[in-house]
Amino acid sequence: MTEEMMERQINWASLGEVWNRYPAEVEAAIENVEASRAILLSLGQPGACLPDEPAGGGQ
Amino acid sequence: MTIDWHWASIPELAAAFRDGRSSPTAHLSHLLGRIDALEPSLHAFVALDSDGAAGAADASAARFAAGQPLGPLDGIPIAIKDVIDVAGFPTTCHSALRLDHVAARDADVVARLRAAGAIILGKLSTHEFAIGGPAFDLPFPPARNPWNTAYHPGGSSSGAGAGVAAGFFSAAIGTDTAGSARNPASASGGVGLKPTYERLSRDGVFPLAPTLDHVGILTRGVEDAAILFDVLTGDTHAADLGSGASGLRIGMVRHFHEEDMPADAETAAALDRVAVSLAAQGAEVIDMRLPPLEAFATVNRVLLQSEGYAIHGADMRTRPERFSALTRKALLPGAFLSAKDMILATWHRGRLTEAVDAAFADVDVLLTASSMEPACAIDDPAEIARTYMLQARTPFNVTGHPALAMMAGLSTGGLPLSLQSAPRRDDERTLLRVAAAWEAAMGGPQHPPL
Repeated sequence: MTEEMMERQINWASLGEVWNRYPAEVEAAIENVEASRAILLSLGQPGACLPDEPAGGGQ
Repeated sequence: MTIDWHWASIPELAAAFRDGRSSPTAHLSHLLGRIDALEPSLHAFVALDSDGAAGAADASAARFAAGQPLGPLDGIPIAIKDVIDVAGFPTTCHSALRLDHVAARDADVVARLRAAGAIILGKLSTHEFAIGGPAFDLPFPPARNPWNTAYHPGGSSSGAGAGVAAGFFSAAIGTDTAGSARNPASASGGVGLKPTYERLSRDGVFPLAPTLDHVGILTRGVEDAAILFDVLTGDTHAADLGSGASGLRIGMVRHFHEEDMPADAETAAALDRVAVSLAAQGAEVIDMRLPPLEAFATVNRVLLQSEGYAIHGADMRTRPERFSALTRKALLPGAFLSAKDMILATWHRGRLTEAVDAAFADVDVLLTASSMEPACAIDDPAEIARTYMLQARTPFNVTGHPALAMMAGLSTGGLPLSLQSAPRRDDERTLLRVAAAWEAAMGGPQHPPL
């Protein structure tokens, strides 16, 4: 099971009622999060070699 | 000459109260008549406190009669967004979930206004919990735009923007987490000031996302905003407004509205006119680049959804039907955001804040778009959804810099166009100064045909 699948199962368990009653809204929320996550990752991550920072630089 | 007292500035009213041309009681009576006539089509109020306001007006009138007004806000009617506590009234947040949550005491900002003699006129419509709207599935109808009631007045401080623009009261207190005090000023005209983060107390304010939440000030004119800011902070900005734009270095962030989220032609042209006007007054206007607007918007969204769900998650899980569909849509993503997402967003927030701070090495104030288009029809959900993100206000919630939105002109459809400016942290003085310079060039505050 991937990390994302585990995360979905955990969230489904806690969100069960909302998911049952408003499945389209919950699916839209998941898509919203996936889009946000993709943008955040595209902007860079701590520890990554970023265009304006020398490799290994900073703390 | 007949004076339209409902458009009068705070200093004009104070002068009239002092010399007897009007009184707090007479002015309140005039406004209540106007509200009675126009409120059924605008829905600015959730609760109107006519009796409480009348008592406060009489007390203020007595102080003026004795020659002892409390200060510049004595006798001035002000209304409060209904996410902010006013003692004795429910803080409903425009939600079925909170109709019975009566506030035991005033929020700090409300207490400060009362202590200055202001008349608290009532509680104002908002998007549900300052996020879900404009919605038609809530206990109160959404506020409408005074320039054209078929249009959205901006939100989430929607009743604040609509009521100020309609001449129902001189000023309103709103909140701003992703632009909610500046959006109404962009859609309905007037001025929306979001001071530096934590410059105004959030004590007694129902939170949406505490690290992004700001208390904001909405007025028709810049001087009125400066007076409120001064009263709430004990500062003295209003005295500086006449110094114009000469000598200021202004960085115009064109890529926000030309590349990142292209604005419509009228908005872009209005921003160019503002830049030309300020340059003609002696400002140096240069083009300035910041990180892409999408970066600010995404960081704001992830933090807002995470923090908002932390507050509303229990209700969302157990009684989701009590929320507006738009509120569920706005906050449900918070259920699926991880600690890793929050940490990454927070890390980017630091980088974005550093980038904006660095920009002020070269300029005194930034000039940007506020809304990329004028207001859309309030009953068109697709247009509401499309235009919701077409704005450049989130950068300054993410960074905490002060920012102000105001009218930049009128569209051919007769709706306000908007601009935004932002200075260094804690430099509201320069922010208000440049806003006053543009307002003077525009010929003063503009009012809807009401």
